[in-house]
Amino acid sequence: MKKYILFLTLMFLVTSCVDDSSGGNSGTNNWRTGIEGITMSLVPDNPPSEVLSSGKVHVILKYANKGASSAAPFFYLTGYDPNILSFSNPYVQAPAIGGKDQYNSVGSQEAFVQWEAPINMNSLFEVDNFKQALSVTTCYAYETIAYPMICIDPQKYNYVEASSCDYSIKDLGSSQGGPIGVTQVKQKSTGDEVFLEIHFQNKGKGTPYISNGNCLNLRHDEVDMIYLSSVSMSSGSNFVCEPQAIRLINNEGYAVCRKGLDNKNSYYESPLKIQVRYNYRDTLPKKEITIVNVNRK
Amino acid sequence: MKVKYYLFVIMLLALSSCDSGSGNGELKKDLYQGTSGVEFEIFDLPSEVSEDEEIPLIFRVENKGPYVTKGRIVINTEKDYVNIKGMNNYAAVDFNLDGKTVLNDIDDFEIYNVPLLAGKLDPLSEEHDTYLSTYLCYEYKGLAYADVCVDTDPYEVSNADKACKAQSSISLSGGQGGPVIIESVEPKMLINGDTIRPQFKIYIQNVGQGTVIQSGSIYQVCSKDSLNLNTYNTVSLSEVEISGKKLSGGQIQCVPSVLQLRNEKDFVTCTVAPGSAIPRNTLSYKSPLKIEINYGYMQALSKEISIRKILTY
Repeated sequence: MKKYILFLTLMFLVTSCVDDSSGGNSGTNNWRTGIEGITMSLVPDNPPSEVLSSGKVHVILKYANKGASSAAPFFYLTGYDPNILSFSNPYVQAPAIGGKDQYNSVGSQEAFVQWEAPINMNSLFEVDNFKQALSVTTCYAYETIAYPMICIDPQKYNYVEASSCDYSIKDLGSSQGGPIGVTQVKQKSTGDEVFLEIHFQNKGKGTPYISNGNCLNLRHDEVDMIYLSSVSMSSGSNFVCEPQAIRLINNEGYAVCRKGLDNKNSYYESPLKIQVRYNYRDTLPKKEITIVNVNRK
Repeated sequence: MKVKYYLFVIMLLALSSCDSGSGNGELKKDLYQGTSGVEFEIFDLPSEVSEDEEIPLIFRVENKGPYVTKGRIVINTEKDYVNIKGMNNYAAVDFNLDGKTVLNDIDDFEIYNVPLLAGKLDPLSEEHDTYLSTYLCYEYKGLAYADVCVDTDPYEVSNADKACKAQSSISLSGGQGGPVIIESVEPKMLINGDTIRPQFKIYIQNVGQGTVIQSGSIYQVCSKDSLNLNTYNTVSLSEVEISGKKLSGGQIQCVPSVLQLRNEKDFVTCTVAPGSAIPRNTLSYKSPLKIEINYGYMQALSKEISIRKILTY
């Protein structure tokens, strides 16, 4: 009986052990995760694979914001011959849609965009059937914010005393609720300054870009670009970063940030805020529809 | 019990074999395919006849393609040995045939009976082999639709998620329901400042057994009239259209306008006119390219008949 009680007590102790190393990422605080931003898909059979020439082509897109930033996405319907399918408004700007927050770790509910067009057969009287492609591209402004913990020790290289920090950067995670992720932060400090090498990665399937113009046709120097808008500590002091406009090569890039030490005498821990802004373009795989001519002459 | 069981199984089988007929294949009839146009055949012509015997020449002309057609069949016989009843040794039969449609995909046909009469042999001959020559001439056309990509940025100067890319060649070798086929199309996008001018090299080929003749010359060819040099192997391009731009409207320019087949093949190059060029800021899109050709077609068929004297010894 005693052995049994001892065993139960041990089991209780073991199961009550929690690894708190993830710190702020546990429970409801880990909502800044995931690599999705605006997600979208065509509603099944909208459009169907085959459409009769006497009917209309309906396209229904469902989308949601599964990231941790709000966005007002543009949706562009392309790929078709405008002489045949005359969609009245192929470019749609959706209203701003919020994403995840501390009370909602899932993201927004689904919203819908609908397009409809009659089929103008014009002089295609005799064709049996022909194909049209429909492709939806979304473009939206987004941001990724990472909040890792940083431990800065000005005396780190002091030979007499061992470093007081038992970590350099922690709680970064691998994604922060957006297609651009902060994947790694390396810290180096001297007696006067602290340097950060911050690495970014495009984890989504789309293209980040910096441009205020038409996102459908971008110049090559506009794509694969993100903007590091701020790196700051809880004290409000900002790092100076170079470059701020970061080019991603093979979907990866980095910037180096520097800042004078707030306290040169002892080590200190602080939350670090890394904020990166970008525009993001994503395109659904094209859907090919066959228009069957039922008015053949 | 057994009877009921069998009855149930039979009913199930009967139900499962029911077909509503509303499958996708019902609507997607590809009328414009294949390489057969108008065909004709002579029914059971006797290979041996006697002097003064009537020869029943019954033939059937059938339109296997989707195009409405008119034509003529000419029958020629060897003078004095085989005569066409009521005529001499030449007869022409004109015909009009409908093409296949979605609602009627049965080949339209006509059957003709031209009675012939075997002539007398020389007094010293017991047998004479003669040829019955028939010629079929008809007006026909070819109509192809190729799904092409109007690629407004063929060299990918800008970064765009394109819905399609220009193909190097589109094969249409299955034919369009006639013996002269639009075999393939090679699209090319010519950059012209801020616009592109789609260009299409269209390959035409005669894959039938007959001879291509100029459209509008069928009654000349199937007659005793004299012919000019361009009558044979000439195909006219009657329409090319893409995205609302037409050859007939002057928005597309084709060189040459008339094709002269050599070794049964030729090609024509059609380019969207500078004034109808497509702005390059338009995203790439798919569009059906319509190509229509007109031509005449001639086929010959001959049959050998042996005329024998009725021997009395």
